Amino acid sequence: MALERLYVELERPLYNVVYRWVWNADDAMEVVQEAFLRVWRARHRVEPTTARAYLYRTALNLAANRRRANRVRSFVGLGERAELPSDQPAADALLGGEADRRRVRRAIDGLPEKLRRVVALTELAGLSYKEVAAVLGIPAGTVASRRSAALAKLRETLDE
Amino acid sequence: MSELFEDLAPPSGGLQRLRARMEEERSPRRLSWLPALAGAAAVALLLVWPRPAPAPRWSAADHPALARYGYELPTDDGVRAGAQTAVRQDGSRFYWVSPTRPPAAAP
Repeated sequence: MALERLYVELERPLYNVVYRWVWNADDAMEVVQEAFLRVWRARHRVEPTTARAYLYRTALNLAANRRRANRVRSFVGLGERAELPSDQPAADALLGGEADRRRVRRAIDGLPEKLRRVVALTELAGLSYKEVAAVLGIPAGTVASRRSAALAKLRETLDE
Repeated sequence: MSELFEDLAPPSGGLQRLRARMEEERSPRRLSWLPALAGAAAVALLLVWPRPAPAPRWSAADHPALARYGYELPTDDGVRAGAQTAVRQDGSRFYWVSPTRPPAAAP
């Protein structure tokens, strides 16, 4: 099945992108799954050639929504979802110690949304400028300039 | 910068979960409409629930009708026009008024 092949191919890059929005392994997995389900539900309308772009765009939007919802939960005192134990090493653990994890998260969270989308798709998903342009609906030149701006801001934050 | 873009492995079993969810959506939801139907039926039942018919209205002077429906008939000749007296049966009550005005009392 085409969607399953696409899942095998794109699960990891999508997970890596989405994780940098929600900072929680279970939330990230849920978002990735939901993005694929939406593509599957819209399979009669989505062209196979645009399925990847649709998938990334859907996942980014879902991740942004989840992030907002988590912030609201946190604001009203329900707290953010804790990292649940699993048989896999926690994603945060792979990002080094607690101090490093906070530094990384602060740097990425500090990026404006449109810069973050570009840098996540180029650096984490490994998409070309042309592919990112198709996902975000912006010119490839804008992708390049936003990527440069994002990397500069990340360097600046990490050097602080 | 490399720590920013470290490659993370997703939790295992993602494809199986996706298959299960797709299968769940594919299968007809035979009973998913049942709670909605039950709710709608309950509301409809409340709206059309048979209420007791309103008590029939007759003229208090219609003695045959009073007798037909089992009310006790007034035993006196009626009260003065404008005055009322009650005839009761099973918690309901109606009033009757004599159709004839009694002669005016002498001053």
